Amino acid sequence: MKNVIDVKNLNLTYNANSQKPFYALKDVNLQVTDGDFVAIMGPSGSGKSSLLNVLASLQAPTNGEVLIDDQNIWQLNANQLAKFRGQKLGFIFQEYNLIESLSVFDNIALPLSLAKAPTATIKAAVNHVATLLHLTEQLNKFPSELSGGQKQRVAAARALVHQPKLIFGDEPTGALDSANAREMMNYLSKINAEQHISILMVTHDGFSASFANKIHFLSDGQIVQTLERGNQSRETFYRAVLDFLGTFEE
Amino acid sequence: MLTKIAIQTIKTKWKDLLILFAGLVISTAIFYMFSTVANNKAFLTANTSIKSIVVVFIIGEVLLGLITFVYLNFANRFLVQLRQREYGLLMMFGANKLSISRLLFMETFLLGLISLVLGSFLGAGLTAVAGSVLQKQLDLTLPHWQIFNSTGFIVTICYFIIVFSLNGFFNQLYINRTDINKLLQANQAAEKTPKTGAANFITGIIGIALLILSFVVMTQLVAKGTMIFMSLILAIGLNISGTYLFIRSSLTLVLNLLQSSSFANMGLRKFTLGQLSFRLRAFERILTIVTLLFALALGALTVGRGYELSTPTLAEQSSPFTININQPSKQDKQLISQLQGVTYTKTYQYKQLTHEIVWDAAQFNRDPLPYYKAENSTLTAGVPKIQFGTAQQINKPNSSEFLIRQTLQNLATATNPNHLSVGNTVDARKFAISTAPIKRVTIVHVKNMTAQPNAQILKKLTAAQTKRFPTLATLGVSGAYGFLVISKGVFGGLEFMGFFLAIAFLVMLASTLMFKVLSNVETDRRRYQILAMIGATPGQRMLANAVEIAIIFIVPLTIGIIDVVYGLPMFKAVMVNPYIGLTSSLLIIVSFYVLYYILTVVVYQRMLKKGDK
Repeated sequence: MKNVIDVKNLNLTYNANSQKPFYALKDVNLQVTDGDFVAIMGPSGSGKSSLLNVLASLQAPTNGEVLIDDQNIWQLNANQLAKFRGQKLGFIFQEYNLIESLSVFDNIALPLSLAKAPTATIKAAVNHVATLLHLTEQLNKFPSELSGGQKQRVAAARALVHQPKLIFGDEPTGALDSANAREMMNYLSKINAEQHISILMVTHDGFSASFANKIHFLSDGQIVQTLERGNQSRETFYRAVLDFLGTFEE
Repeated sequence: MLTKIAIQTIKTKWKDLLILFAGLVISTAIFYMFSTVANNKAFLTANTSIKSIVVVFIIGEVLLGLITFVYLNFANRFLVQLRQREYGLLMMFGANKLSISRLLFMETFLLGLISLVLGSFLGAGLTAVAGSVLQKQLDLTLPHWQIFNSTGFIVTICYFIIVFSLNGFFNQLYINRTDINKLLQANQAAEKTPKTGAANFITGIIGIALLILSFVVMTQLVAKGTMIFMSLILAIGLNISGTYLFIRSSLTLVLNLLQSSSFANMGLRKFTLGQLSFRLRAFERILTIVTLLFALALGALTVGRGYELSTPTLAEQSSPFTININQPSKQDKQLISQLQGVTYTKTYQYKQLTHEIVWDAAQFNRDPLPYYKAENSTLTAGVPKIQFGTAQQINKPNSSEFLIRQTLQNLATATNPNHLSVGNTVDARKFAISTAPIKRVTIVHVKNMTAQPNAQILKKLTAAQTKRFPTLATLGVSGAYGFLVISKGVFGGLEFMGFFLAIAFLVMLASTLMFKVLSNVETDRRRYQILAMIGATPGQRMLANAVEIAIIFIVPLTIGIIDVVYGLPMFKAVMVNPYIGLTSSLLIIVSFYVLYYILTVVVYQRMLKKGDK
């Protein structure tokens, strides 16, 4: 199976030249195969967000290699990087990150408009993802008129609309109640299974993580453990995650 | 403790507070500048021939007061917005509403007081610099000019103390009425969603109608002097409300149309249009006053330039020669030889009898006398072509040549002590038999009398003539230059006021718009970061931002120019052609405006980038 993410010896150090450097990521090696659904868990300050930011091309590493879909992203210049993000990546964040001045339709359409897609293509693609995420009724509304769950679905639709290779999620259920969180995770599983889009998600919530096929546990900037779901049901996997977390965080 | 927290806030948010503070200081300074002139009645009445000038300035002061009020109100809300989350936190930790609202009142009032003191100093400085530079530049010495006017100062102090107290009071009320939760979440509050319904359509149409109506009142009532003050106030009222509704609703209609067209689907166009339709709602008041300030600055400059440009033309039209030197001395001749761009120099001989000046006819046949044909010359028609007439034409002019007699009359008559009863005769025989001594008069015409060194030389020649011929002190040295000097005395005050006010309004405009635009950086920073994540290149983002700010700048520019084009006929009563200074003023103001736009975009994008991680 081909790797969609291939990380080699990744380091991220803050204040590297000072007397007290802080190692946010230490020699991280990580592979995500095409079509996989991977979660990264770990306590606060373990380096989860730093890892996501570096992989998602939002923050440059101190050294190491990040290949996404065979492209070493940190060799690209700012314009190439922007285009790469626009074509290959989708993002879902805890705080939704919708643009308030655009309607739901326009928020979802934005990646396609940026890619200069024809109007008919944009309409068809937006309607397709809106149906998938049950947003057809909300398309003409503005983000301020939506509930938290709806906003996150819009964010998911925007991450999905241009058929990216990979979606990054940063605590995608962090701001949602349990019912909405479950719904969101079901949608992500559906996107992963039906659209064959790989997902890498950072979370500190075991329940959300149990929807993934594989969970890497991060501590002090290093991957210390990996759990694989294999043939287990999600519920069984969730219990395994909780059992592990009980010993991991002690 | 609360004071400590307030000081800490100033430390952490000093950049935002600095923008706010600079805005307050500038608005105070400009109000002071205007008040100093508006309340200097001696200056106003001594320097203009317009009787109602004092009333016009009072209306102007009220208008500027309104503009400043809207601006201060906005600045105040900005302060509250900066502080409210912190107040919410303090209340959550147990501070009571009374002490918090007192703190906010104190902050508002103190900030106001410091800006008032600094603003007054800056205002006096600006008044002094603008006043002296302009008077020097326009070659004017205006009587009763003051940098400090006690009434103006008191008006400024009272106005600002009242407004700051009102703001402080409203802030108290706001804090008392708002619950902690709302205060804590204030920074996340969404912007108002633009209206798109039928009501918006109707107000949009009303906006356009009111604007058109204001132009009708300006051109049909005010310009024709019908109930001048009532119609002037009506025009201002209609114009302000029309502009407000136009920005609030009419433009939203246009943006909605654009948004739903396929034009919007490309790149970041939809983002820019979305930003604008939100911004216009948030900017409706500020853009209204910026439009007014733009129109006032352009209008004032156009009137000032109008007088500056039309006086030399009027002067040229008044006489076919620039200056007339009677009995030129050696020094006079030397000065004349230094003049540049000389069209002609002519010297004629005459003999001065008690009640008659006799000219040798033969000399006019050898060297004909310049004159203007009696055509219907207007200011826009420019300066007529100089004609030259012989003795026969002088003695028997036809209907179009009668001004030649006036030219002759102007040559030596004014220097005669009995100038009121002196006649001019052109007769070779009479000249020959008269035993009176031969005198000479030299006339010169230069292409440009206002440029140096000509202006300086003409000034010296005039001074020498006036010294030698006392009657000239009251009658003036004849010629275009003499006319120019008199016109400057009559219109110079208006010319000065036009330029002075244009500077004041332009500075106020710059401060207002930049302050408002920059106050959005915080909201926008996140949006541009999101765009970056979605795949917008740095170039695309910068362009989208520049276009968005450009459109915000273009709105007041366009309405302001239309306002001036329709507003200028109001000056027909005091100016021959109010439009004469429009093109050059437009060029000056628009150049400043464009520079200022570039500066805003640069500062804005730097601030946006600073937040990028």
